[in-house]
Amino acid sequence: MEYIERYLSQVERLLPEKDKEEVTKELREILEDEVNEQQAGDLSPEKLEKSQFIILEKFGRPESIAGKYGGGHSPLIKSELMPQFLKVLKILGVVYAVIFLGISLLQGRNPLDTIGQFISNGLMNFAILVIIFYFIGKDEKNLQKTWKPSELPPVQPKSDVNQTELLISIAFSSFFIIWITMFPEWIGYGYAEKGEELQFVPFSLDKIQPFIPFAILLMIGSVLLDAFTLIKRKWTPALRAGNISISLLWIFLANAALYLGMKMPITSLPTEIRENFFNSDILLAYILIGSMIIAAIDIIKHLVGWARINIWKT
Amino acid sequence: MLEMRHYGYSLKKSLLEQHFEIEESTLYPMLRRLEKQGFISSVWEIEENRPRKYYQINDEGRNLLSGLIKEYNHLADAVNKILK
Repeated sequence: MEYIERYLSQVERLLPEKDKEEVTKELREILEDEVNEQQAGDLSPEKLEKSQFIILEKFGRPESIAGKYGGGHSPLIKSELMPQFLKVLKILGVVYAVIFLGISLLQGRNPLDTIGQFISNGLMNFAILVIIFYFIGKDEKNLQKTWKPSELPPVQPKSDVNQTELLISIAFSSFFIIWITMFPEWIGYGYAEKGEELQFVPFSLDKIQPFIPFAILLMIGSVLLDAFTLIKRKWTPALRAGNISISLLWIFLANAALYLGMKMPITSLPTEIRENFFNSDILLAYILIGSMIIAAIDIIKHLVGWARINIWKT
Repeated sequence: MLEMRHYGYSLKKSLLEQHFEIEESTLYPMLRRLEKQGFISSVWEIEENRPRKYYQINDEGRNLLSGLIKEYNHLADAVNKILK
């Protein structure tokens, strides 16, 4: 049932990740039952197509049904508009983060003030967006605009790319590249002796300084790969190989920074911790090890993703 | 109605037989919401080579239903008294 599949593909796009499979399966069953009943035993292609149009018109726009099935509930935003609201929120969130942080950095503002303003302005913009969608929802005529199932776009090949994950990765890496390039003195941690005020303690990056340019290059490479994957909307073997290479290089670089820069090979860490429970170097070592674990998880994820398509499905 | 097992479309037909018309885009998502809230249970079964999701009311749903019936009767009594 061509148009039922087109409709389901549009609905699925708008559903939350956890509901996609179940709701699509459920909706397919219901729509096929309804179409069969509508056909009333006439199995001609013309009747099938006409029946699909009648049933889909009854169910309403894909945005509307996706909203009712699990696009979220809010007293201010109509369920029909929730998928679009979440989409706009995601896109504007990334655009806002890049523009705001870019301008703040160009103006040379204090990074802590920047974060404070980023959060408060972000909340205000969120409220404005909610109000805009509230008024769009009040315009019933706009919501009930005529909709033709015959205009549903053909089913696109499925994308195995998680766009949200990639957008977060791009935003986080870009933010970190700017931060470490422009404000290395603001990379540190908060520390307070008993009864004293919390103080900011910057990391001493001297020991790993020679490795930082390579780390920035790897992060730029990672951002470019993520951006390219977003455009492609699918993981190709080349993109997976690129990601695995970057993760491997990251593990190599972080290990080198630990071993050669900080003179603190992983095997010596338990002794270091026993002798000096908490200090700047040990915390930095933990961050480097944490980043190596994340890179290793990324490698496993890509290998499993590749195997799932090329080995287990054949 | 859901004391008997029903799949989505059979439930809609049963409701229609009792002259209770409800929009498809309201009924089916409502079943899912009731299931998510724990008032009805569901199970997928293969029937004529097609997967079908069967729904049935559970104990929590019965408790809710008896509460709602009481509330409805109370309200209907009050309205009847006013109309008399």
